[in-house]
Amino acid sequence: MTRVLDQLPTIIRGTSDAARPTTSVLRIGNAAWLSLISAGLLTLAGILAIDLAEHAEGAASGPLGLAGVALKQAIFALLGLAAAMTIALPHYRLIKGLAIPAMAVAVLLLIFLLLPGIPSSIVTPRNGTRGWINMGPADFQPSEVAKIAYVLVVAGYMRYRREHRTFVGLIPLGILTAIPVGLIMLQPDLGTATLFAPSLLAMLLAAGARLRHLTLIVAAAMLAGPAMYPFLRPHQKTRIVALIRQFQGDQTTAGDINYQAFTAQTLIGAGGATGVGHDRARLLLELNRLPEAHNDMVIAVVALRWGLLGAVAVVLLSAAWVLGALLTAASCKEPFGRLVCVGLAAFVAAQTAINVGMNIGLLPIVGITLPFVSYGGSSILTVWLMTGLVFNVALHRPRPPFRPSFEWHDEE
Amino acid sequence: MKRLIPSMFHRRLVLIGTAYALAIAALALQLGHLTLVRGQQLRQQAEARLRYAEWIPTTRGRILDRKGRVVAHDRACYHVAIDYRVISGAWAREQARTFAHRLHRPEWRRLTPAQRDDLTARYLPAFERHVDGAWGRLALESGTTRDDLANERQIVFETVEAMAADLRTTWREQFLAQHALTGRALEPDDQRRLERQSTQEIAEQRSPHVIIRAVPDEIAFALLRLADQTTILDPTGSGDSASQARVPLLPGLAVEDGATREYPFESIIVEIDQRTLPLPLRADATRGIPAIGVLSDILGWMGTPTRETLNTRRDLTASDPAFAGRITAAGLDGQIDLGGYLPGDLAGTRGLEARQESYLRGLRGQRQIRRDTNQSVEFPPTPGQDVHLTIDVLLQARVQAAMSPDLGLASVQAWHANQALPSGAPLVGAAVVLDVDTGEVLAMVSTPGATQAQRRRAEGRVQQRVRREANAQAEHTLAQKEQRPPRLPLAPYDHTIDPDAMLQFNKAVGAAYAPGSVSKVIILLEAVRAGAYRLSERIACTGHLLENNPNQLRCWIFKRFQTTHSDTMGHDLSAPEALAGSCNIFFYTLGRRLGVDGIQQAYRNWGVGRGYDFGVGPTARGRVSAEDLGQAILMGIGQGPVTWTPMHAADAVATIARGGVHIQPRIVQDDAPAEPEDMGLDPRAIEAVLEGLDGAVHDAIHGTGHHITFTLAADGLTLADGTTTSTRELREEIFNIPGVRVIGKTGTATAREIDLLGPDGRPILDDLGDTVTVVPDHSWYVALVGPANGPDSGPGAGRLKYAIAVMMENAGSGGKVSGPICNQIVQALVEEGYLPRVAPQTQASGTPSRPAGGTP
Repeated sequence: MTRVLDQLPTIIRGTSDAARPTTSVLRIGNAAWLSLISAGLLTLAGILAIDLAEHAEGAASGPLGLAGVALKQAIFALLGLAAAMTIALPHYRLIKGLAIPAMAVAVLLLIFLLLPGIPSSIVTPRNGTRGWINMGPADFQPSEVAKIAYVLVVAGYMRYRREHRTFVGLIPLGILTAIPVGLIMLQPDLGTATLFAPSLLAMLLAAGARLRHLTLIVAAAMLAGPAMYPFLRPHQKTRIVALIRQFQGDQTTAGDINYQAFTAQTLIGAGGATGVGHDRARLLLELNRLPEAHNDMVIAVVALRWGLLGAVAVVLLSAAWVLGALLTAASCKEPFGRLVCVGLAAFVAAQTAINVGMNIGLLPIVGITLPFVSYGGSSILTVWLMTGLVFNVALHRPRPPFRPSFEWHDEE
Repeated sequence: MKRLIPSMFHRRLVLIGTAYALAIAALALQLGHLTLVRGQQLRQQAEARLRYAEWIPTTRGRILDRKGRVVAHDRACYHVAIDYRVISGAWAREQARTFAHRLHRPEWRRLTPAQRDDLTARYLPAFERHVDGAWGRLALESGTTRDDLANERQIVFETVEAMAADLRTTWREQFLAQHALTGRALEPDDQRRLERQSTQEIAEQRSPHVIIRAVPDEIAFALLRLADQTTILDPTGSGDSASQARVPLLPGLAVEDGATREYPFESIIVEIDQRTLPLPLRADATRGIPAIGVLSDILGWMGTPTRETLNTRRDLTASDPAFAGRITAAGLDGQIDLGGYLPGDLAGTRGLEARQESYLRGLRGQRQIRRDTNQSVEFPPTPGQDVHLTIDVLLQARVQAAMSPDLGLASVQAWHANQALPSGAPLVGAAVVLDVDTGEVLAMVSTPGATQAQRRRAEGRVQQRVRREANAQAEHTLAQKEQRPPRLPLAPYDHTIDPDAMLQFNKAVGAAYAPGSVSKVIILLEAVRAGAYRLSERIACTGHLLENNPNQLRCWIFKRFQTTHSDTMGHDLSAPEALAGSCNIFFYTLGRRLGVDGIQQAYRNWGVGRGYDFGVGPTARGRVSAEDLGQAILMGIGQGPVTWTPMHAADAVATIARGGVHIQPRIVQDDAPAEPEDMGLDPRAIEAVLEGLDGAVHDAIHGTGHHITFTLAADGLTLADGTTTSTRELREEIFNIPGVRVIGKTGTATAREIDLLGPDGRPILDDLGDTVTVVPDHSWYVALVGPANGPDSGPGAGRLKYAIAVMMENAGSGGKVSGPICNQIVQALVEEGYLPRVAPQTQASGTPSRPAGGTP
């Protein structure tokens, strides 16, 4: 123990060179504070919204006047904060060393979820998806770990390579992505699986892959999309059908397959510009029975309670988090740090956009939550870890040797 | 760009950032659209759930008689209701499932649905036994039987399930209609959604339903006390207190306020003054005669609303905007019918309760409450409208008492000379009293009378017999086709001889009979109108119409006394004389002159072929269909292929009293009085008819409706000429009420042949074992009555104010049977104040009569 404490400065500074003063190693004032503060505000908003949703469903108030679930969220948020602070301390180059082991563990856990013989006491299916490992008071979702491990691995892989400038060089990355994505899709959890693509795309974009290669791939994917429709599970097909019906203005579906979507939109609209009061919101939620009000559809609760202002504030706070990560990437000279920030930012950005999009009727309902705001132990731990990593990159000045990278010229 | 930001990485970051900013902008725009543009609409949609509606009960309209007496009204009472889920078995299943969940909570999450169902099934029997026991307890406490409760349960179950099926069909149709608007074909997804809709529950499947109506207050209070009690069940049988369930003693019990329909005048004891009865029945005292089920066939009763009830209401709403406007209000989800039928509601299903249902039915009020502000909008309830009858219930009761076999006039008496029925056999029939000025029905009695309960049971038995006959017939047809012996015996059903079937209609408007001589009044008028007879003409009564055939088409006086009217009067007959003496030859002649077409038209002009549809049951229209001259001749005296109802007869004489102006009779005083319609008859012909009717009653020698002759026992009585006899005859006038003037006409109409019954009421068999048949006569008497001319008659004296028609089935002579009943009806009119009461002068005690003479 004392050995660790002795080594702590080294770990933090990432160097055993005691000569260099802390300020030259650590950058206290940095862009990641934006992300950190946004994360905190979003978490608070989330706890209040979850509390409202839980009270509407009839939950009793516990300590601090919060419903039990909201309290759990607060506890996990504090744990997440602690985890963030812990992971922010060691220099990120040390963390890079954990990338491959972390990925291996994540993949093993993902495979474990899919093994046929596992009893339901360990892997409890939820809504038909085998995505959680039951750990007593809480559930642990390996796909969340996979997200972070994936970003670390890809960032580490692309750090000093240039293959991604060629089309062929993109293939190994594709295969690398396909492993976790494929395993997650088998759960089946289509929502989480689709988040990996924007992250990879953003990382490739930032790392300097050629725009026309990327455009080609994206176009091909969009064309191939409809061809994948027959391979979807029935409930997944239902959601796509429901969205199409919505766009067609078909009201007959409001009673069943579009119930969730229409109710969310109704409640968002009912919030108006500034929202209805707490009691009215609770009553409306109670009587309009919004499913998943505390996780997938929590933005509807926010919009109901605080109106357009509140919903836009939440969206802008998420955008601020992403901005903070991007600014950190911009100010970081070291390639690993750059890509990590971009990759994590992409995850949060995509998740926010898709979640809000499905609540307001622009996207089909998929089972993903709003980062920081939605209820979910693994989810909030993971995004706070991401915040911690971004803060890590922002905090630590890159340790030489490194060279600026991803500064390609078109000919290269 | 490259110049501004030399680093590609940073350019790419800007690209990523911009892309994200655009996505955010799109999200913000859509958020703005939802909250600002559609915000109002969506808020209303969301807040629609905030409001809920409560019904406010209402009362049904009353039915009042002519003098404002209440003959049908609601009385407040308690009903016992049970939640539908207990009735359908869902409660037991839910309780068993909850119990299983509680007992096996740790592993419940990991069980498959099939395993959960198995566990539930394990504990279900205990809960089902409890429900069964609860039914038994309820039967005990409320004084009903388990079978009755089971019947009611079945009715509620079937009604609600039918309602759910209807609603689901409507939803399905709405869904398909909305789907059709999109122009797409039905896809498997849509099919699945349709399937899910088809199993959706409706509100009635989660609410209480009345099982026992109108319980006495003590029982209601006892059940209320039991409703709070609970008991412990042990579904596992282990005796372990942790695995026990606490359930209500009587699950789903609710005691509700309600109303029951009462008919205060259903059975009345009428005090009849026996001094005005014919001599053999006369006594000095009054006698209490029960009138059973007064007005019960006319008023009808309440029952479960039928499809017809709903259709009638719907059609009325569609066709009458005023009615539609009155009954609809803005509910939470659109327009609602405040008088709509909820499960457990009763509607009129027979008689005027059914015919006037839309007006009698009250409109519920509705309170729409907002849950957040507790503000409410209220539509107050509107009580149903009262219906006013033209009928006087006490007059109706008196008429019914007069026609009761108890009194004696309506059972076969010696003086009836009835050769078809045994002595003392009860006689049934109908009587109508109309107000001449207005055409309103003052009384409309059909005997035998029966209470509502008796009529409902009789109806049930009739339906059973009809069904049995139909089933047996179907089985025999099938057996014949399959060439095997039938498994059911044939059960032929003849409703004409079923006394239960007789209670299903009111004979005054629901059955048609041969008119007999009563129709001579209209034949005369129509013959004059058609130019077939001139009032100055006298026609000879030749005894038989056809010269060469003395055995057919005979006058009654020829058949009985071998003489003719021309002989007894000393001259050929004028029209009034022919009516007074009811000469058949005269009217055969008119019938022949009118001819096949003329005679049919004559009857049709007076309503034969059109019924009086008052809504009191089946309506008979009467029939007229002559094919050859022989039939036309018979129809001249009201025989042959012609029938009409007692109401036709009363209507006809009332029209004559008005001078030929027809006013359609009615039994409900609605807003629009009937339009008088001048039939365009010759006033002198009317005069002649009235003179004839006067003669029939007042001509002591020739009038067929003047007197009855009674044969009394007398031993050793010395007559004027010195001979002795063991019997003497006494003659009495039929009408003996002072201060009134009565004119009228008798009718003895040949009816359909019937089996001859012995004194025990069973058919008499001949040597071969066949029944002996006999051809009876229906007994008719129509009359017009008003206050008599005289010093103390008051204003309006001399006018004929009321028309009476009496018809007794198979009773024989019109004057002998229906005449005295008509006299009692006149007495009833005096008792009820329609005719002046005058102190009786010394009663004529009758004069000894010659052997010849009598009443047809």
